[in-house]
Amino acid sequence: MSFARASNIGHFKRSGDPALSEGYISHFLSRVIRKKHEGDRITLKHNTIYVIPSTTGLGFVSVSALNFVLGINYQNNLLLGVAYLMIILLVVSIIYGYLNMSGAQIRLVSIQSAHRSTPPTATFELNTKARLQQLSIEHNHIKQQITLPVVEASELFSIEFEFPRGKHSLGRFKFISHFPFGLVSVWSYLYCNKCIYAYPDPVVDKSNRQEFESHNREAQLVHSSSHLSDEFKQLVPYQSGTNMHRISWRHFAKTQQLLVKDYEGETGARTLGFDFDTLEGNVEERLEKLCYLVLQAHQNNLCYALKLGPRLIKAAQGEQHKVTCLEALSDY
Amino acid sequence: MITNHLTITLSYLLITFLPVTPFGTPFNILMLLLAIWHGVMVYKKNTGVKNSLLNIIAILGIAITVISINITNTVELFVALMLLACQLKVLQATTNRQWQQIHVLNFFTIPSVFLFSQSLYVALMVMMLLGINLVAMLQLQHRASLAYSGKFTLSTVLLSMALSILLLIFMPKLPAFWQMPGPTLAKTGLTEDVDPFNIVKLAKSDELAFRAIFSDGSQPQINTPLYWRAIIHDKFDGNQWRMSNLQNVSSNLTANSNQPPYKIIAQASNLPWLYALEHAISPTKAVNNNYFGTLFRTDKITSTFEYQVQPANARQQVHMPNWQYRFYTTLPEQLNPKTQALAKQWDLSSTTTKQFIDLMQLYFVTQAFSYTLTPDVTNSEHKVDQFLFEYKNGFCGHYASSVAILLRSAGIPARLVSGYLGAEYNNQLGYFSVYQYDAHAWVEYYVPNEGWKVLDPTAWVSPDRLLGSLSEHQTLAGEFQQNLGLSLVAWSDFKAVNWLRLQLEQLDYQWTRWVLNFDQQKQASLLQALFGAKGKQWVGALVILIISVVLTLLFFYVKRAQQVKEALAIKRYRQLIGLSKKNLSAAPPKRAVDELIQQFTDHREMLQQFYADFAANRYQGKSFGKNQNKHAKNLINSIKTKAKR
Repeated sequence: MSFARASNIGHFKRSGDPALSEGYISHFLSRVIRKKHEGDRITLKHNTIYVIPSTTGLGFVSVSALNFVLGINYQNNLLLGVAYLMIILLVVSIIYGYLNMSGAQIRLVSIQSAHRSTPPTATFELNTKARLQQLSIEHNHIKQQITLPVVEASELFSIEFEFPRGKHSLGRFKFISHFPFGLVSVWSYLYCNKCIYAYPDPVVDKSNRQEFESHNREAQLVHSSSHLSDEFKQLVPYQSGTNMHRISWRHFAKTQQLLVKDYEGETGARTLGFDFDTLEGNVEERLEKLCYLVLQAHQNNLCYALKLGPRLIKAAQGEQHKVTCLEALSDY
Repeated sequence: MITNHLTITLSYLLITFLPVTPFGTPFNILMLLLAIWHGVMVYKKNTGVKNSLLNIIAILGIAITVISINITNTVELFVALMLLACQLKVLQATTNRQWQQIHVLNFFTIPSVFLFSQSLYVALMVMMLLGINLVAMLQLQHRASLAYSGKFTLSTVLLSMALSILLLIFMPKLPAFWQMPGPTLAKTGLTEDVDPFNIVKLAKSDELAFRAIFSDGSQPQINTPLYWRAIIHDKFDGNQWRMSNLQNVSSNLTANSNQPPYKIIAQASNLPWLYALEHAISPTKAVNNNYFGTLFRTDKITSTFEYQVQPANARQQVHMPNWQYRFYTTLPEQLNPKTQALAKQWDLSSTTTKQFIDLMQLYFVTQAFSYTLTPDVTNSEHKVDQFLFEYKNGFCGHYASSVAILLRSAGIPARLVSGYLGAEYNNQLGYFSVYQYDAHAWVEYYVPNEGWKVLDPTAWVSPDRLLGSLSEHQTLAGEFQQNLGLSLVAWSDFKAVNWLRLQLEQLDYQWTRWVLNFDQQKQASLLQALFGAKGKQWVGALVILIISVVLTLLFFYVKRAQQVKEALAIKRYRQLIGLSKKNLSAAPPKRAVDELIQQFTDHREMLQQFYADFAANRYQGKSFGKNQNKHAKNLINSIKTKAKR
């Protein structure tokens, strides 16, 4: 198992940074670029913006050369003029393309780890002094390329990732624009070292439920009970991490005080234990089932512990505990 | 977006139906049908035609194109196929990538019209179509409004055009690498073999043949007829006067230094023969003169061409060798017996060539010959007989041909010359325009001890024709205009129309002279005049420098224009907090100023005053005027000077 996982991660790293698998020069270049673009934010300016003619631009240059040859051979000044005009247009496009991007600031605002198919997202903020036209964001694990047609002053945008289950470094984002005319590619990078988790998708364990229930009596509660069936006991002050469903909004509306409804016979009474080894199926299936159990236990404000092979997460409850468990599941 | 696609199709259609692109009716119809198809597709909101269907249409289209355009006309065929391919690609395209390819290809397809015509109007049209193409490219990238895209494209193109004109003027011009086939587009009034008795579409074209530019004071007198010689015909085969074998053989003549040189800008004629008054030589590269003193170029003239003409002395020919005498008096003996008999009769009753010509003139004048552009069609084998004794009407070709035959019959060496007679003079710019309808034919005959002389029998019949251009010819006006059909010249009776025609003609002259014929020679002399012999070699570097400077200016201009201008109050505020030791950029203004007051206690009042002004401006919408600004500046300066001490 661990072998498979290691190779999996190795594979991801390679594909996440294709430059690494290229030759020595590109390796060196990518390291230089990486050093320059590492961090959570970047200001696009002369030393972080790269400009070259795009494929269309190269086609444009060859058409210009063709016009030049025709102009020379037919001694046709107008054709020559068109050839010169095209070259100058390309240079002017480079200037406009560069100025379009320069001065913009891109900042990573937040990372939202989530289930694999939710999906995990990262939110960026883009600030520009001037109008920025047509910016696309590229990433190796992106669901679909994001294009912002026009950014006037500042804009928030989220990137949805298509990661396999696991813990991932955000890696390289490429911000690219072909403004104007599509003749030039103007781009910059942002290398983000922050991590994002793609939790396994929760899957209800159907096939083995009978056996599962008999082995683990408490687990039954996960399916059958909800806090609504319990008897109301008292209101206690809100603590961060408590399930939002339990907040008494009626009190909040009246007194502006966040109080949490406490139910009879709830906490401490039952502690669940989820064990990777007791479940059936391959690694992914087991993790998905565990994920479902963790979510359900959390929703029902149950205290639960998680055992993943050698690693044991002690019984607890609350938002933080859920996140710890989910991260452990992702990182298995 | 979809309207953009349709405009591209419309540009192809416009190019196809342009009068200067001779693609033939089948091809025009094909392109029209494809355009209609695209229109219907756009209307029905369909995109992308199946490849298999397109392949069939492509094969059919190529067949139609080859049928429509003769396969020997390589240039027309190439441009037509290019148009067809682009149009099919437009029908096929669905993705942005495909559209990008089309837009880039258009930068080749649209300017290819310049191979056919380089007139000002065509140039404007091509620029407009390229502009539309660029707008479409811009809109493909980001969906901005049409107004924005149009404005952006216009400003970019205008700037780029200015710079490329600089490049065009100053970049060293290269000679042609290799010969390319030219498009066949000539509408010339001249033919290499003259057959006057065939129905000739003479005088039907009001297109320009060439322009002549004389330096000031050396213009020919207004009242001398201008005979522009082009082709010598010295063999008559019964139907046609054939071009001389020596027409394209270069020969040496001596320059006549008494007469000043002049320039001629010839329009494309698809013939190598050039025009000059009387005998001439030319210093221009690739232009030679032949034995007869007419000029020719080594290859056909497929675009406007400017050359220098130096008047030359005619070859002194006191005696004519026997073989030459026989050559210049040869006629098919069995044809035109009446004509030959009449010539022999005049020969007996005259002693000199002069007397013989007088007899001929008398005959033409007394027999009431008339000049017409629509002569009777001859049906006999003896065409000259029929003309001289029956119909007695015709145009220059008839008269010249008949007189040359009469002269040869009497044993006087004679040959036919074709070229142009007359010219329209432009008073303002001082040049002569000669049009296709000025095409003319006349006779040269040989007199021993005197040499070759000019004789224009048309003048006996229609003396008006000798001076000015045919368009100014009064008696023929009606007939002339009928022949021309729809044309501005045909309406020259109306003053406004004539004025407009002359203005357009003047504009075209300047365009031809300064844009189309700006060649290596002109460039060299311009550079010499501007920078002297020494500076010339630095011109290329200078131009690149100028262009770099302009582009750098553009860079800073756009950068400035893009930046939002900060309000004055904020600017001063930023300067102030910059003076602090702490970083106050994130602090709210009130706290920042309090911090400053703590640091610079001496300036407490001034700082408080500044904050009051600042707050009044920012939060209450009051103005931050001159006084407030002055106060803020004083504050900043005094803090600075204090800090230095």
